[in-house]
Amino acid sequence: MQRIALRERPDWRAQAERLGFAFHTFDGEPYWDESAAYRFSLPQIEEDLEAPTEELHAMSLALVEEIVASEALLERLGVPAFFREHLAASWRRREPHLYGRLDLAYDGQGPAKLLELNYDTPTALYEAALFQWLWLEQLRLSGELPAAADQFNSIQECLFERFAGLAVQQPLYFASVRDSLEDRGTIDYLRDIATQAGHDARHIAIEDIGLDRAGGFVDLDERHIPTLFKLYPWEFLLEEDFGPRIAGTFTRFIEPPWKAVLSNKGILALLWERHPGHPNLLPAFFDAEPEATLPTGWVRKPLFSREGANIQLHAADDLHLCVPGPYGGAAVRQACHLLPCFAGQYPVIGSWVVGDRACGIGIREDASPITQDSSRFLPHFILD
Amino acid sequence: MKRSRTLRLVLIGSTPLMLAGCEPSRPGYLYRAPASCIAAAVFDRSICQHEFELARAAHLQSAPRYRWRGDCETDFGTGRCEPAPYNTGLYMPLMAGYLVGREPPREEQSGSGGGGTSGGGSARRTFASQPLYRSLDDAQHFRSADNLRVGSREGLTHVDADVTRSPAPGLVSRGGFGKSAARLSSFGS
Repeated sequence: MQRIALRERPDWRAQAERLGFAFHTFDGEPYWDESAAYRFSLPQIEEDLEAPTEELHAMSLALVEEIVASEALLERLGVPAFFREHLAASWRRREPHLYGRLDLAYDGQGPAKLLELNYDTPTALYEAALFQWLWLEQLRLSGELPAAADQFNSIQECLFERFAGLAVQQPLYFASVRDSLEDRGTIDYLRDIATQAGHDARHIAIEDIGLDRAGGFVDLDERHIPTLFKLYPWEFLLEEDFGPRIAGTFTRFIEPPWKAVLSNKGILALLWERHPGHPNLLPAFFDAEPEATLPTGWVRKPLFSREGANIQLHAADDLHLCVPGPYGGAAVRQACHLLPCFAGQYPVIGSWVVGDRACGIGIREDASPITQDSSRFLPHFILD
Repeated sequence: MKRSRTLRLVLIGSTPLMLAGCEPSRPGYLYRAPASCIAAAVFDRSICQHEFELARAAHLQSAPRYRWRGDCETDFGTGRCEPAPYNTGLYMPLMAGYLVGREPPREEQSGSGGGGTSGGGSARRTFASQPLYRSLDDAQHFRSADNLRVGSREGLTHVDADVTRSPAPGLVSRGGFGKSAARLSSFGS
């Protein structure tokens, strides 16, 4: 694994604009960054990333079976009581899930370490699946990279196959927050793939979803929403006004309710409890004192937090980081395992699972060892 | 208690919560079907038919829903359930009757029209006509979609204001999702 400086394609911004990648630059700062790329060997990809991703995924799904059967675990993970039966039923029916992203710390040697699961609302999808793919194709054509260069990325193909095999009531609605350009870009991309796969895929802003007299979710024309893909966290849905009504509606959600337990940092503690010493896991425990000072060598993550918010990291006496944010409450402690540093930057590997298959990676790089929403996306290639 | 749970969800939904017990009961006319409404001759044929259609539309919107036909039939009886609209795969009870929310025309009004049949056209609306149901555990009474008892015999009945308050079909509440949007710019992770 190396970080290689490369020439940018002169027209990549224009291409991004044309291809729906409106969030390539964020608040004036680059988000897509092709001034460098990460290079991997094929064994690094297959043995150190792909295989462990599928194994961790299988371990996580096995945990769901255990969690939904346990009031104590559902309580511990903060699933509201009114939603537990509905969540468990969604698992018993094996309501289909679409995708997830595991964040791994990996430096090219030794086992990748699971930092967290993003199994409810993973993003950085479009750039990993499409724009990164296009980048490699064009660099191979221009000769900037050898023709033998490859990439671990069948994400879009896997998404298409997954959608094609998804037997759900139509139409299939895609919802995101109205004012988020990034989220809109992501669901427009998914909607595009779903349409290709034969679905009647429509868009609705999450704020526009209505609840009708019969207790069903409806669109702006008051048509029933039979199936709803939502790029919006389950824990938010549940605490909002319509949350308690979800179980009484007949809308099927993607990701399904059972995915809520996997987007919870508590899963890290449960995984370690079930598989202590697993090479791809870091020691993690429910934090009995989330307000206490964090000892050296540990990272504290609230059960619900996103984009690195509210994460505390105490690597050593002179490295103590605290990201501000809106989250709080119960937390886990995870053994501190710093991201590797390449050219002063800290890359984290987002390893994508579509259905139950590992099918690609995307790399985000930050100047801080805690990856945040200010991080940049860098492409990768495989060349032995 | 499956049925009341479903109904409670329907009730909480978009219905504005009002204080109970501070309004007098209202007169309505209960009929099993348009034919018995017409035979009773309180309203004319067109009103009987029209009010039935309105109640039927409300029925499609607000009848209690069940995930399985068997659950529905446990509450309403074998053969007394039908698939719900929207192709949801759900079931709901058949309409067992309807409650006409109109006052019959007064004598002096109908006189000029030459009898009850034509004079019925002026029957004043008092509330939105409602679909009615009959469950196995209380077979002698007709109940509203919100499971409120309405009456047991056809013809004039006095009902609580709650029964007459069901909103028009299609009333939708919005904005129940997305409030956490103010906290972060994006919800991906």
